Amino acid sequence: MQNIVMLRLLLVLLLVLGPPILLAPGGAAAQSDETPVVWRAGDDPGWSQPDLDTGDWQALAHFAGAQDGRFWIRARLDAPGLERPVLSIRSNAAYEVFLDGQRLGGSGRPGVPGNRALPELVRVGVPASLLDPGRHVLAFRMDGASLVDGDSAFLRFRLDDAAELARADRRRDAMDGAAALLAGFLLLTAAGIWIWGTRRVELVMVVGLCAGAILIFLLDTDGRAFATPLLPRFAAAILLTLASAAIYALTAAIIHRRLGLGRPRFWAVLAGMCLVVALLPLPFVGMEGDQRAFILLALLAVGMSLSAWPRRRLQAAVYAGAALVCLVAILLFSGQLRIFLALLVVLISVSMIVDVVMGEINMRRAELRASRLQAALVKRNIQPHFIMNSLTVAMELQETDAAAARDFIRALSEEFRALASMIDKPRVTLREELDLCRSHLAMMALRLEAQLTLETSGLDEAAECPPGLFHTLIENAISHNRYQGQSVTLTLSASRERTDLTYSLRAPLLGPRVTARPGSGSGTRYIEARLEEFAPGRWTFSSAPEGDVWVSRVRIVGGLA
Amino acid sequence: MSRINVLIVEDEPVVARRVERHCRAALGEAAGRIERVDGVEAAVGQLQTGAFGLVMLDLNLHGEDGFDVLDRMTSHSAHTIIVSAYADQAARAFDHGVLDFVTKPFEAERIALAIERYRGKAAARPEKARYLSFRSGRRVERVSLDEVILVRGADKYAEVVLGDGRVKLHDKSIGKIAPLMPDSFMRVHKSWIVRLDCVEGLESFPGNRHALVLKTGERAPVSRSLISQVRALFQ
Repeated sequence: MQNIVMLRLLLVLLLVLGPPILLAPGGAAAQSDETPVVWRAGDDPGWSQPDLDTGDWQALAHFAGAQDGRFWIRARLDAPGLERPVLSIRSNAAYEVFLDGQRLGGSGRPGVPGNRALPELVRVGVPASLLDPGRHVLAFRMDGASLVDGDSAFLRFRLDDAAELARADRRRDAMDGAAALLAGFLLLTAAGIWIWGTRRVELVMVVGLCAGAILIFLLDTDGRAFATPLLPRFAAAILLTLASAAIYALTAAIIHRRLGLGRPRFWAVLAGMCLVVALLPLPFVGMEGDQRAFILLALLAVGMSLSAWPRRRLQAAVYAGAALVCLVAILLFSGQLRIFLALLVVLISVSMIVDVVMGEINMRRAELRASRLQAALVKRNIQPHFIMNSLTVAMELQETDAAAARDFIRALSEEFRALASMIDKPRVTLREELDLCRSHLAMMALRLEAQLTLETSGLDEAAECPPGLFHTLIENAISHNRYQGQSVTLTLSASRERTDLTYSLRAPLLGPRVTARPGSGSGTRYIEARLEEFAPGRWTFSSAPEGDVWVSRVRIVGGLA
Repeated sequence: MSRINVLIVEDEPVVARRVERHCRAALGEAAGRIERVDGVEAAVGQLQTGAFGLVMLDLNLHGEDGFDVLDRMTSHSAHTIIVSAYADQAARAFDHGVLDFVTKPFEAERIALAIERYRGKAAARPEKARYLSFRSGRRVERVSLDEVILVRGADKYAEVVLGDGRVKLHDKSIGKIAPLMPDSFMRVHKSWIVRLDCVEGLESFPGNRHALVLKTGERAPVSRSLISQVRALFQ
């Protein structure tokens, strides 16, 4: 019940927080993506001047690196006449930035040995007087010794109005807050179920996934945590790296587990290779490493789904669909990884939590059903008609034929012993079941003063079956026929057709006008419940007369697992 | 001495033999013909001969319901003693007007007590009938005792007068019906049983003769031996 309430809360939260996450606007496209940017190796302070001829400069897309790490970048800037212009710059390398030859600011100290800049968003206020409406030149003096040929994604910049930028920051903070809250709720839900419910490793995975997502939502807002940094830059960078790696690994592991795929090492190596490929600076892919990593992760999920398709079509379809949705999200929202991340975390966590909760519910139902069936088996054998008549027979024989009384009590005790040995088992061997049947027949033969025998053919006595299955069929045959004083042979046979296994019990129809027949009583309900527990959805049971015998057939589709 | 014929309806031969053995022992020289049958139809067939005064009935007969026999036989003159494993069915059985309910497993003494009750030598069970069954062609009609005003003897049968004025003939004699009737009825004469809450007054006649006046206007004679008990009702 507790889990169901949590699920409902989760759904409500999803409905409330989902739209803001999905609809929150991302940052506007970086102006560096729209403006022709050129570069040149070397270092000349004059290259900051606006009227420089850049005919021999190369497009940044063909960045080849510089021998000593020193180079310049120039870009045209169309000033739209902003009231309070702010230049936002994100770079993996140290730089100084100039507008029309006038230095605005920078990150790190280009040219100083050992200086390395961490990726960071820097906002530089630009005096409005420098930005008359019209065309201007932005120049960067760079020190990027560690940059690799072909990787042009190390520098991004854009120009905004300060007021508009503040509004965008607020929207982004709201989105990150909502996403972190949602991830936090999922984390607490998974942790709560793990603490108070079932201790499944999938829940720990969900906790790790959500924790990683929360770190990213809170710390990785273009290098800032909300309006002010929550942690020192270096610590935040390490945490973000760890969080990204954890999310990547856990997502792959969860999908692998949920799809029930084998060969964990193969998939682990493949996932690792995807990550390495994603983080390698590739000259022909113009996107950042984390973006590439998640795209490859989505493709990996599609690959896993296809691999699982022959065995788990529904789950494979769900995961492939979810991966494709995420893929589309990351491509459509060009670099807005938080949307992708939010989708990923929600889809995987909800799927996992629902699966665990439903698994728990189903397990409890199965336990309850098994308990009821155990109780039913006991009840069937201590029901008044059986037990009181047996005791009456024992009393009569004890008063009239002591030897027969001893035989009867021995047969009765053997039946109860056989019954007691299987009462708490969900399945028993056919040998155990036949022992119970023969004990019952021996005891009933004394009660009915009849000869009752069971013949078998084609049975694999080591095979398993539900406890009390054939015992119940035999009991029904005896109670619905008139075998008193007769010599009766019941036959139990097994036959196989392709992979299906069919047991048939044949009982002679004796008695002039027997009205009640097996088929709808408590015995039949017990048999059906036991078969459902034994081979869920893979069985049929029929019971009908065929000439002068009553035939009960139990068919296990696909045979014994 | 009149002999008592007993029909044993039991589907297990050893149990049936035990019932028969103990019945014979309890009846002694009064034991007449004792037959054993193992199913509903066979029991009904035997009962229709009218040869049996007592039926020892099991309630589970090859999966058939012994109450099917009971429904049809309580309209007969024979008395019924249930011998069953289902003690929880006792109340329902007494509603049908059975004389006694013996639960399995049973000792000889318990069968003997039931036989004594049948012969009127032991106190009847406190449980009483709530219905009377009447044969109506092939059907058996059950009438609640709440509808019954009085019962009067008619040779070996009994006439049952209902509140709506209908009179039904029952196969049991008034002597066999009397032990089944609840305390709300009183046998005021060897041939009359009246419902006490229908009594309006007591009339006396010359020669120390008395009669109860019922609300329906009927008059029921009162035995001289019972007049003191009847008078006590009016005090």
